[in-house]
Amino acid sequence: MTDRVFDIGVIGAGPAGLAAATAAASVGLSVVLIDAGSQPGGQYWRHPDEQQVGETDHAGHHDWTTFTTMRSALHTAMEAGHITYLPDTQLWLIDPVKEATARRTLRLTNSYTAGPEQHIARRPTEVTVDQLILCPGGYDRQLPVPGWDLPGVMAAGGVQALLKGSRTVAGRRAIIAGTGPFLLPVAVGLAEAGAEVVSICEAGAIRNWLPHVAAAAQVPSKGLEGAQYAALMAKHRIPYRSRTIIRAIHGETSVEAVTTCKVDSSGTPIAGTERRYEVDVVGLGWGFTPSLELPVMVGAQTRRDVDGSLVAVVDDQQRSGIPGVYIAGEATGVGGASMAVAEGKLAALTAAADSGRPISPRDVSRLQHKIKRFRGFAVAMHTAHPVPEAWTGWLEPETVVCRCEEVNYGDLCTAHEELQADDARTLKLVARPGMGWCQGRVCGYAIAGIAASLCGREPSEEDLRSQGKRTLASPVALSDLAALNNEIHL
Amino acid sequence: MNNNDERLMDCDGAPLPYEPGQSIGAALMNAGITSWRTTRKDGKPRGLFCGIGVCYDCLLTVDGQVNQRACVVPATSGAKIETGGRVLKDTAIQKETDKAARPEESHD
Repeated sequence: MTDRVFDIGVIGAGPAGLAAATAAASVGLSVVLIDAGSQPGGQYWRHPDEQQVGETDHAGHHDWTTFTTMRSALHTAMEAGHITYLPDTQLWLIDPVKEATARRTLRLTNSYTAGPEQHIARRPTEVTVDQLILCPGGYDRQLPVPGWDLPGVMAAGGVQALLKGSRTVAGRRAIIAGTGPFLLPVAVGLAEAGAEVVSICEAGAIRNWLPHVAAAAQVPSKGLEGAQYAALMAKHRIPYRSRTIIRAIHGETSVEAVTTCKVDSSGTPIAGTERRYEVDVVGLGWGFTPSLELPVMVGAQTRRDVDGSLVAVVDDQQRSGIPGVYIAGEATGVGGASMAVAEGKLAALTAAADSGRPISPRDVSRLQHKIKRFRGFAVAMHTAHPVPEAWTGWLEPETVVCRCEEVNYGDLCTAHEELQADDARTLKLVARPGMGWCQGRVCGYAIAGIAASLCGREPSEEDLRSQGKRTLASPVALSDLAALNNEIHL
Repeated sequence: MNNNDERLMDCDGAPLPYEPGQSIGAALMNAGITSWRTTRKDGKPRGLFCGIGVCYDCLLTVDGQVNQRACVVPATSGAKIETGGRVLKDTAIQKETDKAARPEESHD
């Protein structure tokens, strides 16, 4: 188990990773596909455990045939021995390149250690690869708001995951808030499953879209999706309120109500516009945060993308700049599943070419053209749905910012005023936000924004990167660390 | 196929039903239980937040394995879930019990 060597390690079996793994196998490379989930598909194509419930109707899934085609290719490649697929497996450390072999060892652990036997079976604790394609995906971006730590308040994607993965409705009366087109499928999914959705609160203005229609028109399928959601929202009578935010969430031991209000174009609340809704579930999402710990771990260059998130820098063939490491999907800039698939394929072709395999230049330019088109659409979407610049003005001193370490906004203000913490890294060292279980995955973006706003400047790449750097990519047992046996220095 | 009797877990000594394919977190939510942990510092109740294994808010003990994420561990027959019990008593289950014990109060 410890001497397994593969041409390519692909991390993540979502849209980008599935595309990368199957494309790499199809040009003759041996692939190990490592995924924290129990079955392929990632967050986008999350579906109930098919070993338990069989094939389902996949209502609400877009591009389902894209997924099933890639999954068939995965199964064929697995049977032929070209892909070794490791589900339920968490990559927690990428060793530095060994000089003698120019290879990297990947340290693995189980995603979880209790539950059905087939999911917690022993798997290899390490594999070694010549090349690496990182497709770590992302998760909902969050802005803290008073009361967001009450049970019943969830990431919009978490509400969606409950529906798509577990066919469970998070509550009876819901409100969905934040910004971006992803709020629509979440609200519609809840309504179709029988919940009452009292409102979608979109912080942006609908007319923000108008200047970007040309870019959106380059991807006609997105227009169709939008029309489908609009029809379903009308059917379920879901009110869509733009320039509206959740100002506070109320409840004792779980969410009971929210107060919403209108905001101006900077995101500043407009007095006298408050409304109260009784709800038992709140879904929050402000776009997506790409998972950057693995790109940062291997030393990849990063930048602040047009949506304000930290993303990895790649060239026009998905090369990270670190020899043998390619990055695809949301980690290079949030752009959705279709773009992730194209990037995953391109990364595999580039890796194959770089290791001396013949590939078709026409395939490369076709994929590059596609990616450019999707990127244009993504930029239009991000520009139309910005995080409001005045969002830190919504915080009260007692609003929890870091949920793990229970650091509130007042603590951060004190760290700035009394201890001269002027950037996100120093705030973290002084007041401990981002030092708990999730290692700043949930609050990192907010901490960067708060640090910048306390100093009256824009958040910088360095603010974000200081929150995105993690020595280990997931919590591991001390025994896992001890097993490293002083081979490497963290 | 499992029948309904077999689709039960044990949560702090109480039977917790689940549907095939559900995570433990989903089974708890289905039972009306929205929190099963309290925070270290302020003792605040916590349950599912990110729902996809990122935030670690939903930790509990399953079959003696501590710090498992309820949102990612699949429900399985006979699984023994331990939450410490405090939150469960304070929230959903207790509310139901209170309602049953004091029906006349609702007319006040």
